[in-house]
Amino acid sequence: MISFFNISTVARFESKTLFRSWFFRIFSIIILAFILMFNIFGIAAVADGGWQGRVLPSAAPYFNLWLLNIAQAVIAVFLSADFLGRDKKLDTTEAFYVRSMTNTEYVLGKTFGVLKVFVVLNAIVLLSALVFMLIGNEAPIDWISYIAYPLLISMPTLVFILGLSFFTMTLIRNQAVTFVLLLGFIALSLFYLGNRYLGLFDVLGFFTPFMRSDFTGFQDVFHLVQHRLLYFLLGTFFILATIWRLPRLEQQKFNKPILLTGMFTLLGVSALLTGKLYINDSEGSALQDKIVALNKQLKPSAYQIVAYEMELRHHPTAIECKAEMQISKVNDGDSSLKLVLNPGLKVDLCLINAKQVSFKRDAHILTIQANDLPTDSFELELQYKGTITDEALYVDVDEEVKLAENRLDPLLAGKQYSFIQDDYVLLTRESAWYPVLADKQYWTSYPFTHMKLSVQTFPGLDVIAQGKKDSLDIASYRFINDKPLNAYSLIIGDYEHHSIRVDSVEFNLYHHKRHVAYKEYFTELNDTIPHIIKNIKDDFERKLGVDYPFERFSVVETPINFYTYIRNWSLATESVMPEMVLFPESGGGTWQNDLHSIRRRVDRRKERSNEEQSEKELQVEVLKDYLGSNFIRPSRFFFGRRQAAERHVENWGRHQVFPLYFTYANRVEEEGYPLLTIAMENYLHQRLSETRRRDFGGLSSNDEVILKLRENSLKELIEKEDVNTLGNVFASKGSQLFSNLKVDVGLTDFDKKLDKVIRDTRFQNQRVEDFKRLMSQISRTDFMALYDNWLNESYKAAFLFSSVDVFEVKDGNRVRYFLNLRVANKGNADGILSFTVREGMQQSGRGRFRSRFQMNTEEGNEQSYQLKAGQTYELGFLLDEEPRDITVNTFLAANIPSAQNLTLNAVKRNTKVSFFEGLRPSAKTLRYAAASEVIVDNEDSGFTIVNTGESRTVKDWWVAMQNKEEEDESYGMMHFWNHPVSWKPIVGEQFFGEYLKSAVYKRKGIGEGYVNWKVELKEAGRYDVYAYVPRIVQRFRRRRNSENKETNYNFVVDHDDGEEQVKVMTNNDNYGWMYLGEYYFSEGQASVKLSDVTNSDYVIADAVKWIKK
Amino acid sequence: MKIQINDLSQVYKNDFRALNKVNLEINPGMFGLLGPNGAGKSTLMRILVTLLRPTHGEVMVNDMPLSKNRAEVRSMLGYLPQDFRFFAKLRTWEFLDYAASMAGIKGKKDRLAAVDELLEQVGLFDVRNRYANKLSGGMKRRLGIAQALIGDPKIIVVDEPTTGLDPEERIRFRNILSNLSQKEVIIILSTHIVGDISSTCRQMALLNRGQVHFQGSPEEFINQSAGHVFKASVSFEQMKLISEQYPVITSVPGAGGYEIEFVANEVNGWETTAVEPNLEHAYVYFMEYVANEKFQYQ
Repeated sequence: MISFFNISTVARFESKTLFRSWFFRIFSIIILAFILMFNIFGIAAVADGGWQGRVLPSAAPYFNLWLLNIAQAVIAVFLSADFLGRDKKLDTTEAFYVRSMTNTEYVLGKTFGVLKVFVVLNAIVLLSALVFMLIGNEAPIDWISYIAYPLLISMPTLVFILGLSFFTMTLIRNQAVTFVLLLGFIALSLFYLGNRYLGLFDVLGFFTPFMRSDFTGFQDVFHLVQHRLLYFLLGTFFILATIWRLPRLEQQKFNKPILLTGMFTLLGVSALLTGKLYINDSEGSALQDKIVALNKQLKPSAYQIVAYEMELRHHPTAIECKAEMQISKVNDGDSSLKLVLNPGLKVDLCLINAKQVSFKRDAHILTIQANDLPTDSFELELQYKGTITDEALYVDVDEEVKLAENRLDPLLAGKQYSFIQDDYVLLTRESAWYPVLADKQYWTSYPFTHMKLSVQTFPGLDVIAQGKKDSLDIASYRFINDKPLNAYSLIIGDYEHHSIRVDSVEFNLYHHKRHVAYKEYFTELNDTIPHIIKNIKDDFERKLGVDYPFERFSVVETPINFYTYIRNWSLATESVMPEMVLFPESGGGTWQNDLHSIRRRVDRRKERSNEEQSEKELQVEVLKDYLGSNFIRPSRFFFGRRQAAERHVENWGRHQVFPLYFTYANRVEEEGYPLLTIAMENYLHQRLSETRRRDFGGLSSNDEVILKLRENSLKELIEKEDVNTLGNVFASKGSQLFSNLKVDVGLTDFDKKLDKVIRDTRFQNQRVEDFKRLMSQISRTDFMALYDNWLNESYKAAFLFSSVDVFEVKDGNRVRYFLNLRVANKGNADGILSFTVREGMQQSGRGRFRSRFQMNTEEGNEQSYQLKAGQTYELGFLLDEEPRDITVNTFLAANIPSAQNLTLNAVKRNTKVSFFEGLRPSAKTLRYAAASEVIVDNEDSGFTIVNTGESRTVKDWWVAMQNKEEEDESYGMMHFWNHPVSWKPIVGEQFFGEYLKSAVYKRKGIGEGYVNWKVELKEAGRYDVYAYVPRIVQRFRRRRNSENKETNYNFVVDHDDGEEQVKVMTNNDNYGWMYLGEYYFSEGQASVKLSDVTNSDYVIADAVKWIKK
Repeated sequence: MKIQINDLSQVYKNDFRALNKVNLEINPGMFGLLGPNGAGKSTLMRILVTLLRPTHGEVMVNDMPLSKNRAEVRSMLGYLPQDFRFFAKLRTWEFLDYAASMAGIKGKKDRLAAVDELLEQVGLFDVRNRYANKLSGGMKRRLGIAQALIGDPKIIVVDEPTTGLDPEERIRFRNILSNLSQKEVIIILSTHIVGDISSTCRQMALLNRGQVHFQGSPEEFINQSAGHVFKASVSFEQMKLISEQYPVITSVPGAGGYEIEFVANEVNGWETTAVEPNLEHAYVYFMEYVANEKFQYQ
C-alpha cells in the first residue's frame, strides 16, 4: 500500500528546500518579472505598443503560460537533475533512506514536491494575467482557460521533463551531462524539430495550437488532449523508471514486478496514442491523395444544376440535409452524373424524379450511372447526414503551407476549416456541405446557381446565410436569393446582431455576445455610422469602378481557429463569402484591430497637429482607420519574413471586401484555370493598390515573376510547374494583359467600358467566346490574338532609360515644369510602361502610423504608354509644380526591379526649350554603353567572385546558416545587421545594370575575399577607368555623428605598368561612377579587383567601365 | 527484540571482502562494535539498516529475515550515519520534523512535541530555528543523534557517534543512550573509542578485517588479557628497546626514565609488575597477540 502521508511528507520538505534554493528563486524572479512586465505593457497596455493579441479570447493566460512553460522547463531540468545529485551528495539523506517508506513513495514525494513548487509559480503567473486583464483589458475573461491551460500546457511538459531528467540522471549519474542532454533536447525541439513528425517532439507546446475560442473552445479538444496526455504518460513512465532505478533497496517484495507492469502499461498506452495520431494523420493524407487523384480524372460535366432547394437540420454533432436540385443536361460529355459532397456526409437516399436510384460514393465524389438518368432535365433529391471531414478540404494546397502554423504573434491558433457543434456551425463553400457538379477543375470556378435554403436549428441560435431571411418558426429560418450565387455559406451561433441600412444595402454586424468592448470606442457615432459607411463605400467604389452587387453585407465574427487559404487562381478566400465577411474572433490579434492602440494613435496625431477635434471626430477617425485597414485596403505590418511557402500578395488581406465586387459576382466559363477571370481580377485589384516603394531592395513578387518568365510562356509554366507556385505569375500576367488592352483606347475609356461589361454580366455564367468578343470590341484590338500571344509566347520588352531632364518653362503666363527623358525598348516584344510623377514637396506626416485612410490621400498621377520593340522614344511631362520623383513601372519587361525611381537631373532654369507632352519617337538612339566604353557589370561573364567563405567565428557560421535558408531566393535584399560572410547577390534600383539592376555584397574582410571585373579590350591605348559605387542609405542605423560617414573602397587596377592600388572614398553625396584613374592598357585582357577590406561594415561590388581616351 | 546475524559476507565490486562470514547475536541493550578503521564496522551497520544488500548471509530481526521484511525493520530503525555533515536547506527543527514524520509520527502536535523534547535532550533547543547547515560540527552530530532517536525506534544504529563531541557532550550522549537502554531497545554502537563501550555496553564484538574475533561482554573481553598487562620503569635507553619488543600503551616520563604500561604474552628479562587490565589494554592485547596484527603504537 502506498502511504500518502509519506508522499506528502517527502513532497512537503522537497518543495520547502526548492523554494529556498537560490537557483529557483533567481530564475523564477527573473521569469516572473519578465511576465509581469509583459502583462503591464502587453496585456494591460499601460504605455504605447501593447501587444496586439491582447484582445484575443484567452490570450492572456495562454501567452503567460506559453512564456512560463519555456522557462519552467529549463528550471525543471535543473531542479530535478539536482534531486538525485543532491541525494548522493548529502550524507544526511541516508538517515531518511532507512526510514520506512517505499521507493515509490520517495520518488513520488520528490516529484510532487517539485511539481508543487511549479504549481505555485503557475498560479502566480495566472493570477497576474487575471489581475491585468481585469485592470487594463477590455476583453472578457475566459475562466475556463485559466484552468485548462495549466493542465494542458504546464502539467504535461513538467511531468515529462521531470521524469526524463530524473531518469537520465539515474542512468548517467552526472548532473552536468544530464543538464547538457536535457537542455539540448529542449533546444532541439524548439529550434529544429518544431511541429515536424506530427508534432510529437513539441514537448513545450510551442508549436501546438492552444488558442481557445469563445465560440467553439479549443480546436479538436480530443486530439489536443491525446497529444498532451502522451507527454504526461511518458513522463509518468520515466518517473516509474526512476523508481525502478533508484539506488536504494526496495522495501516491498513485489515492488519491481509491479513497477515494470506499470511502466509497460504506460509505454503501451503511449505507443497506442502515438499510433492513433499516426493513423489519423495517414488516413487524412490517404484521403487527400485519393481526392487529388479523383479530381485529376474529372471530365467536363454534361450537366448543369439550375437551382437548389435545401433543407438543413442542425443536430448536436451533425447536420442533416435534404437537397433538391433541378438538373439539366447541357451537352454530350460524360453522361454519368458526378457530384461533389464532403466525404463526412453520408448519403442515405438518392431520388431522381421521386424515384430511388442507386449511386456510388468514392471519397468526395458521388456518381449516378447514366442509365439511371433521364435524358434532358430532371429533379435530383439527396438526403444526407453527418459532419464535415476537414481533411477533404483544400487538397490542392501544399502540405508545407498547411503545416505552417497559424501564428498570431506569437500564439498559435488552430486551422479548422468548418465547424459543426451543438451551439455553433460554420460551413463555407469549400466544405462541400451542399452538392456541386464535379466538373473538370470545379474547385477553381464555381457556377452561379439559385438556392432556397431552410434551416432548423436549436432555440437561441441565430442563423446567417445568403439571401433574404424569413423566420418560419422557432429556430427555423428560410433564406431566399433572388440572384444565383457561386458560393453559399451557413453560420449558426449565439450572436449579437446589429443592422443598419445604407443606400439600399443592409449592413449587418454579428458578433459574440461577450465581445462588446468595441462599443466604448464609438459611443458618439450612433447616427453618423451610416454616413461614414456610405463615404467609405462610395470612395472605394469610385476607385474600383464598380458598385456593390449585393443587397446585404454582413461582418460575421468567426472562431479564432477558423482558417482559410489563399489559392493561386483567386484573391478571394473562404473568409469572404457572398454578402459576408467572416471576420476573425476579436479581430484575430492584429495591429489594425486593437482599437485601444488605434485610438491612442489618433489622439497623438491630434496632439501633434494641434487641431481642435471633438470626441466624435476622433471616433470617426478610429472607425475609418479600423474599417479601412480591415476591409478596404489592408496592409500588414511586416516584421518577419513571409510565411513559409504561402503566397504573398501585396496590398491584400483576407478580409478585404474586394472579392464581393468581382469574384463572387462575375465568372467566365473557362476550361482549365480561369485565366481570364484571374487576369481581370488582378487588373481590378490593382486599381485599389498604391504602388508603394520597396525601400529594402530585393525582389518584389513581380520581379520574381519576371525571372520565372525569362524563358517560358505562361502556358509552358502552367504545364511545367506546380500551380501552387504560380499565383504571382497569374497575378502579374493578368494585370499585364489588361494593361495591354487599354493602351489603344486610352485608359479612362477602356476602364469605363470594362466596368460596364463587369456590371452587365454579373451573376451570369458567361461563355468564354462571348467574353473574348466583348473584350475585342471594347479594346478595339484582336483580343483572341492578343490572348493567344499572352498565353503562349515568352517574348518580352526590355527598357533603357535616360536620366530625366527638368526644365523650368513659361507656358503662357504660368511657370511650369517640363520633364524630358528618352526610353528605348531593346527587347523583342512591344511593352508597356507606366509613369507616376509626384509633384511638390513631401507632405508632413511623420511617424510610422500615418493615417492611410483619410479620404484626401494623394492620388498618383499615373500614365501608361506602349513602346514598340526596337524603337526609341522621347517622353515629355508638363507639371505645375516642381517634380519630387518619377517612378516607372515596367510590368513584365526584362527590367528588374520592375518599379524604379528614375534619376531627376537638377532643374534647369532660364533655358529655352520646346516642350511637349506625351510620347514621340526619337531618332537618337539610347545605348547602355557609349561606343568608346566597355562596361563589365556583375551580371556579365567577365565578373568573378572569390570567397573566403570560411566561417571564422561562431557568429560567422550562424550568419551563414541564416543566409542559407534564403538561398533559393536568387536575389536577396540587403541586410543591415547580418552581412553575409560570402558575396551574395542583391537587387535594387540603386544598383547599376542594363536591365537587371543588381550587385553583390559581403561583410568586410581581410582582403582574402574579392571580386574581379575582367574585360577583353579590343584596342590598345589610354583608358579612363571608373567603378560604380551605389549609394546605400541605412534606414535603421542612425549614427548621428557619422551620418555621412566616408566609406573607402579598395580597388586594384591591373594595367600595363603593373598594379595600381586605388582607394576610393564615398559618402552619401559622392557615389555612382567613381574615377579610378587613367591607365595604359594594351590589347587583350584587363582587370579591376575590389577587395573586401573597407572601413565600412560591408562592401558592395557592382560594375566597372573602361573609357577609351 | 533480537538480532541474529548469520554467515554475513560482503564483497565489493573491486573484490574487497569487507565482511567475511560474520555471525553475531545481539540482544536488547547497548551493543558495542569495536574495531580498527577499515574493519568492516560501517559495512555491517549499513547492512543492518538496509542501505546495503549483503552478498551472502542473512540478518534475522526478531526471527524475521531482514531482506524480506525491510518495511517492518525500517519502521523500527533509527540510524546515525558515520558522516553527517551536509543537509538540505532546512532549519534544525524542520529537519527533525522531517525525520519525525518519516518515523511515522503523523499528528502534527505529537510530532512537534517530540521534536521539542529531543531538541531539549540534545541541547539544540536554542538553535532550533537555525539552518542545519549552519550548526557547528558538534551540534550537527547532536542533531544526528536526535534524528536517530526520534519516533521511539526499537533498533538504534549509531556509527561513530562520539567523534567530534567534546567530553561534556560525550557524557550527555552516553546518558541519553543508557536511559534508552533501560527499555527493550537494541542500541548498536560502532566505535573505535574504547571508552565509549566500556562505560555503557553490556555486549560487544570485536571486528577485524571483516571477521568477528570476539563476541561477549566487555568483562569477558578484558579477562582475556588478564595477566598480560604490565607496568615497568625504564630508562631512556631501555625505552627504545622495549617499545620495539612490546606494544607500549602509556608512557609517563619521570626522572631518569619512563613509567610505562605495555601488553605482552610473557615478559622475559624485564622487571615488571602485573596490572589489572582495562578495555583499552584488552583491545591492544587482542589486536597484537590474538589477531596478530602488528601495530605501530609509537
